[in-house]
Amino acid sequence: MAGIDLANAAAYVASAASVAVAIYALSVYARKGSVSLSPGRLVGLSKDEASRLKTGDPVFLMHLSIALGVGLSIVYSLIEPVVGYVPYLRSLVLVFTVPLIAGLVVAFGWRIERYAASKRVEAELKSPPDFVSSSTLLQVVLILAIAFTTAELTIVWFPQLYLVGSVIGVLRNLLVAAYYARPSVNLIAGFDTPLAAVRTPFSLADVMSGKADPETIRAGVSKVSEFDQKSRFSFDSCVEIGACESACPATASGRPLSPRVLVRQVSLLSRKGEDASPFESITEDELWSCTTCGACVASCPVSVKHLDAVYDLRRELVAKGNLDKEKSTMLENLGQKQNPYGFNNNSRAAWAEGLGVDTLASNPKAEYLYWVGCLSSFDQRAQKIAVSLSKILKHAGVSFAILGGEEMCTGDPARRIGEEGRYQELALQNVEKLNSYGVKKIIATCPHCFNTLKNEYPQFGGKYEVVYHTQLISDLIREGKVTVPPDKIQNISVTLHDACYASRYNSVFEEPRAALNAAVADVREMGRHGEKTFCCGAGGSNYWFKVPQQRSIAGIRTEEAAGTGAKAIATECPFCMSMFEDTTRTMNTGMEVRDVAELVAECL
Amino acid sequence: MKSVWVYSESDSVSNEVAAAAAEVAKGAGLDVQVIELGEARQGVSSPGGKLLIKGSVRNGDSAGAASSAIAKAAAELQPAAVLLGATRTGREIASRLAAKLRVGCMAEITKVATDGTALSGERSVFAGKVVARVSCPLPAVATVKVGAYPRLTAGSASVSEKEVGVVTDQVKVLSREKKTAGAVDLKSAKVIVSAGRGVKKKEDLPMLEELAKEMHGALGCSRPLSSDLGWLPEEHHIGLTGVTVKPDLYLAIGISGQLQHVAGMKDSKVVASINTDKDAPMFQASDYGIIGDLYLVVPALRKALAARG
Ligand SMILES: Cc1cc2nc3c(=O)[nH]c(=O)nc-3n(C[C@H](O)[C@H](O)[C@H](O)COP(=O)(O)OP(=O)(O)OC[C@H]3O[C@@H](n4cnc5c(N)ncnc54)[C@H](O)[C@@H]3O)c2cc1C
Ligand code: SF4
Ligand code: SF4
Repeated sequence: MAGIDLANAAAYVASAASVAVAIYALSVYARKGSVSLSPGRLVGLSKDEASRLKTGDPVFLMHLSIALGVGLSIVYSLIEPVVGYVPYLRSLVLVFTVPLIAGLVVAFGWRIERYAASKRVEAELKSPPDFVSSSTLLQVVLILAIAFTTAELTIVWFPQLYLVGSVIGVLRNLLVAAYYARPSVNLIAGFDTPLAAVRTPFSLADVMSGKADPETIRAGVSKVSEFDQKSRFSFDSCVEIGACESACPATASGRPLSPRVLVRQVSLLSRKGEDASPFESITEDELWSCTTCGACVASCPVSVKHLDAVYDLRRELVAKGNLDKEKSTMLENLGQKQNPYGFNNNSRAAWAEGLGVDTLASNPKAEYLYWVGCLSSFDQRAQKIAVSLSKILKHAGVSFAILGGEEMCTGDPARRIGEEGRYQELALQNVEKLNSYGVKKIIATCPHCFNTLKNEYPQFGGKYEVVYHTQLISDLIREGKVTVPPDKIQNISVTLHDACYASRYNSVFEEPRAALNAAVADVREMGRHGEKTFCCGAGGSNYWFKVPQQRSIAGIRTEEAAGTGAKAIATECPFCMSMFEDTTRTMNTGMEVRDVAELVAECL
Repeated sequence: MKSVWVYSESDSVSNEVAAAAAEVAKGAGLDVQVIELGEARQGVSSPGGKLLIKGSVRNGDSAGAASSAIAKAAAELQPAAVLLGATRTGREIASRLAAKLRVGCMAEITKVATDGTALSGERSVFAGKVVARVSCPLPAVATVKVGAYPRLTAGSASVSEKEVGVVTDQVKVLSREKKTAGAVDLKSAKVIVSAGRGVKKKEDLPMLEELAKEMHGALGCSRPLSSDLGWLPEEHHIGLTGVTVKPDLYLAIGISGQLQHVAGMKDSKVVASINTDKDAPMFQASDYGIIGDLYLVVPALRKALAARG
């Protein structure tokens, strides 16, 4: 029948045209964001997605189903006329549709759940009506895109419905072109940017040598136009998926922050004009609520960099001096005493007295520098981590020394709070000291020190091989240099809390488990572990100040740990330890808190 | 002759800024006028004269009122520069004044000088790592870093007067009230008695409150007592995430002495503690320690205090 043939042909042309529109939209945004869509990037992205597939993260699987579902239905719509001529091709397509339809249905359900959750969050944050309606629009579009794609893949099973399928496909492709071209480009641009990469707004070294004028440099952002172009492109790419919000410890604890709302606020402000101040809609408490745990950035399927906004806006608050007493005291202590607590820095090595631990001054030939960190230097509880690690290293015959009173804070608390100048000041001084001793290898027991030394100091001229203590300990166990007796610790069950700055920021999560399994018989796992860990609440300098909240982040995590039935929380970070020492005590859980190094040292 | 004006709400800072003004004025053929608002102060001296601004304003009034009064006088008398002390209030007056006069403003400067066309100085940036040289065409407003100049102790100065009438301030002071009696002022307390989780129940707190009163001190606490147990309001909590205190005597009762607590009281002159656990870290931060049950020691202490009268 000619009429039907004609209709089918017209539908085909419309499908192909809508695909072309989507591809054109991609190229437009690629140009706008100066992003290369080279085959190399696409292969890299595929590899990255494949590696994430292995983690089995449900949110990621859902989003992969959507992406592949859209891909498959587009390809099918283009090859439809020839499908009948190639043997088995139809069956092959049909086989692929099954898992994708399943994934899409789950994604649909999750979307509805996220929709409801997001409206609850907006009600708590008292988001203005224009914000709420814009967010609702994007979420409805997302739900439609999923529904259309599911319908299209289902219709592949019913060839008699080809025309209906084509109409749905065209609508979906137009939605993709209008709403998802930018996020796709953003993903291609940003999928491999390390979480640990923090923008450096100026160079203090240049200021000191006269290359840059201190009066003209800007650390923070006071108008939307001052955000880095890449950051802005990423904020504008948010399509309200809400993976960040569901992973965010600040949102979970009822603090006035949702990473989704934060980036969308910036994005909506840009519509008001380039000069709009982010502080028109973003509050100070919102910014201080963030623990910089990185869960938002790591979970975002389209690579939005929420943390860029947090850092740039905190820097502006610091520049304006909008700091309360707790924050300014911490910064003052860093400036005057080189540690955030205000203790006499010369007493850093008190924990090492009588242990026969060398300082670099007395033993400059030591193979490793053990970078102790401020908390393990001054806090009596955390000092036991340092003592335990020293015991392990001595047992294994590893040559190491400490800096003692010459060690200073790495500057991490200053950088996270947004005081870039003080951070760089400490970084430059530390690098100078380390280089003057010719340090090559460093061990750290604090993930914040570890991250700063490993990922940030190279930019300031400090290039070292930095290992985390759990990495070294597991190596020593594997090499047989540390032998744990077979009757390892039996009397206590343990669950490991991964520190964000070790696991999520630096992919160190297998090593502490290897060490723990060698030392402890009964090791249990919390639901959120490894790179998916849930923050203890101390990161982002939150350790030093209070934020309005409904419950504590550490309390939520302590409950999760207690839920495993374990009698002890194993930590690998002195800050996590401190948080849980406090919650286990005040919540009367009866649980102990032990660093991985302490548990291993106990077996020696 | 053009003059350099000096103002600070604090007598001693005014004398410092006057010294700075004297240096500025010296080479440039300017004279110095120290501003007084409402009435002349005994402790305020000037290397030149004093200008008493009269009207509905007194020294120590809100920054808004002070800046309005000075601006009114300056609009008429046209000083070459106005220097203020970089105190909290001084900074606010300076910025408001500069905005009202539509002239430039420099903050926290030292080595203040002028060549007759611009006011210049130095200010430290990046926590003192870098010194920035700044200048601003005359007329200009600036705040002078506190403590950078020795205080002037010159004798009496001739006082001229300027009437500015009623000055308005956007902010109206409706009333001034003393802090309510209940609120603690730990920062200024000479003696602090601080309670920790060694205290078994809320009903036992009055015992420590009484002790604090008898020692003419205030009651503080560790974080769990305020944040977790809610026995005391938040402003009682001392430490890293609470208030920082430096009393003459800090008496820690049933506090284990975690770093987060000690960070807030380690600069106290004398620290004493009462704890049943001889290994409690609090003892390491203490000058005196009593190993014992607070429920025995505190009553004994109160009895001894009562006996001493
Ligand atoms: C990020 C962070 C910030 C923090 N900030 C602060 C802060 O600003 N301020 C603060 O105080 N804490 C803070 N903490 C909490 C801190 O870690 C400790 O949990 C808290 O200080 C302990 O309070 P405590 O000494 O009263 O209780 P505990 O540590 O439980 O000590 C109770 C003490 O009482 C003694 N005791 C028991 N019975 C008696 C008795 N009958 N007579 C005499 N002694 C007795 C015990 O031996 C013990 O030493 C913070 C914690 C974290 C994680
Ligand atoms: S970094 Fe962590 S706390 Fe901060 S917004 Fe992202 S998820 Fe929330
Ligand atoms: S303190 Fe521990 S869990 Fe928390 S941010 Fe740091 S690494 Fe994350």
